[in-house]
Amino acid sequence: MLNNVTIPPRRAFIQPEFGDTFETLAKRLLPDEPLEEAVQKLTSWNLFLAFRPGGGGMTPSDLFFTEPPHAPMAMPGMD
Amino acid sequence: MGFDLLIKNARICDGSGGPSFTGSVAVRDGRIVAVGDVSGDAAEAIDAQGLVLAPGFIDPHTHYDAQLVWDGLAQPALEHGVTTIVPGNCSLSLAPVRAAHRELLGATFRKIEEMPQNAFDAGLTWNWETFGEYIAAIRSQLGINIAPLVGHSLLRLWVMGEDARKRPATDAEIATMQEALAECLRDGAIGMSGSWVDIDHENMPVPARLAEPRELDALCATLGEHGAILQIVPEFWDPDLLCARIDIMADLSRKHDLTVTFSPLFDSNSSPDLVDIAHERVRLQTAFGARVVPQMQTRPIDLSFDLTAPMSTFATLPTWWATTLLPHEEKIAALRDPAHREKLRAEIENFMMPIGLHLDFADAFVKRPGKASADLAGRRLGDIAKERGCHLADAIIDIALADDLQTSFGLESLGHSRTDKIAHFLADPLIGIGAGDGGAHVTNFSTYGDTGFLFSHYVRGLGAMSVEHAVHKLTYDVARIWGIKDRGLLKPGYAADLVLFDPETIDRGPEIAVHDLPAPGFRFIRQAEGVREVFVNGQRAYHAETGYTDARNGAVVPQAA
Repeated sequence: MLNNVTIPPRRAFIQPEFGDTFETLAKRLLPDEPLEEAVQKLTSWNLFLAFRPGGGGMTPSDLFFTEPPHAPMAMPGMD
Repeated sequence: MGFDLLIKNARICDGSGGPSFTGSVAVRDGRIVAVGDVSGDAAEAIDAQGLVLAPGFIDPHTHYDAQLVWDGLAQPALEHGVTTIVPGNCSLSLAPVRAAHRELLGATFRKIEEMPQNAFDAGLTWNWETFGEYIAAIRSQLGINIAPLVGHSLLRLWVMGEDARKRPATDAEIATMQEALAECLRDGAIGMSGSWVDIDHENMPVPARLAEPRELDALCATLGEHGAILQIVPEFWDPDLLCARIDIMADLSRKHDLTVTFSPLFDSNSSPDLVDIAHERVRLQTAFGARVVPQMQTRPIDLSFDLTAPMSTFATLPTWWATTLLPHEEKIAALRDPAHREKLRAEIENFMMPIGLHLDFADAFVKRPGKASADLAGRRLGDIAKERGCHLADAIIDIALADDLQTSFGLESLGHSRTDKIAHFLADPLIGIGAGDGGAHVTNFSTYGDTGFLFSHYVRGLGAMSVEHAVHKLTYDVARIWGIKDRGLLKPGYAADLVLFDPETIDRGPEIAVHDLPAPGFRFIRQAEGVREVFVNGQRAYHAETGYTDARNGAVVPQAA
């Protein structure tokens, strides 16, 4: 059976719950960090949500990254 | 018994991608009955010496839903050799919809698909609510086959009313949506469309985006049970977002034994490795049993804009957007108001298009000038502003005002223009050709003729693909991905959807404005070049010399029960 395949994500993400905000997600995902810092960190990982055009806030079908962008992989032959 | 039609001496590209051969195709009762060395009497015989005979092309990403109500030929799709279209993409069909939600749906549809309101209002009869009633309303006038999708946003509105725009569904509502989806599939829908990105006329997420993952999962279970397909629009401009979406689509595909197709896969100048990264992710997920098929369009991105109505060009410029929404006289006053102009100037200076398009208004040119601006035709706005010593925003506004806003501007090759690279991916077996958006954005750019462009640019121009391969990608490959039976091949028993074209001249014509909407106004189209004849279910639908015929025997594919 192939329907339980788990391929590591390119970048870890979750999907928010209805009504989630950066603050609720910060409390849930980074509970040990000061709230303001946690919000800033999550915002910086999800700028597309923080600054996207249009209203409506976060939706439950959105993606929410839980880690920063990865550095681009070095190409062979590059210093 | 004789044939209804015998096409002889053709170069037959049968849709399989195999080598072409010279031969004949015989048709009886709307079906192909013989291919190859065929002889016999026929009511009509055509000598196709020098022409390619291919299965009719299938366009899997269109928005002809509204146009089909007043034009069952989906012009000009047919003359480009397209015999089957898939309307209802991107979470938006025109059914099922209750009478109370027509205005809301209309406003959303017009905004996202950029349809003029007067044409929409004049052309739509709205004499349906259910999906089956919509199909019945358009069926007798169909001159082209349709394989329609039902929109997830419509299913939500049908079940939840206005709450569809505000909240997730309850368990009971999800179950009702599954029943409604199943009914649409029985009434002729080939699958469901969704969107993770679209915003409505009030800049709010479309209803489909309010769905929790469990709702989409449940609807995919219904699709899987019916052997139907999911089409969805992901965040196509960012590699991380797109790969995450590909993973979600792959999980749905594996779990529900479902094909998921997403559109567009778009080569972005601002993220030059995006297509490579997405392709690698699709390849990986395919290796693990998923059926996730990206759709890639053939043409580069060109846009037109004017100030008569909101257009996607202004989607991230709120003051420009709001200004274009104003009634005409108020808009003129606002555009003349110095304080308002200052806001417009400031906004355009900080402009950023968030979907991977490099859009610089200085590179826009005067595309369709009114009389007062006739001498500016084709000139770059940046040059005009410099010459006049004015701000770019003032150049746009002053030119527009000089002709009562009737002048339109163009921007070309904004993205998806590295055709050497795109050629490689168009030929790739993991990627389907589609995402053309036929029937949408009608005053913003022409969405027609992508098939001709494939032959003229990628087959003849770059030599990146054989004629046989290009035909395969437009026919059987699409039918295979979408589960469309008995179409896409020249084979006995298959529907006689046929296109005869000259492989040396087939192309898209220049973009032109035509006035064939059901209300005053224009739309941009491209006419076909090099297409000689098109047959739908065995009947001639178009001839290059005599134009469209009166045949109206398009089918709903799959046929409604």
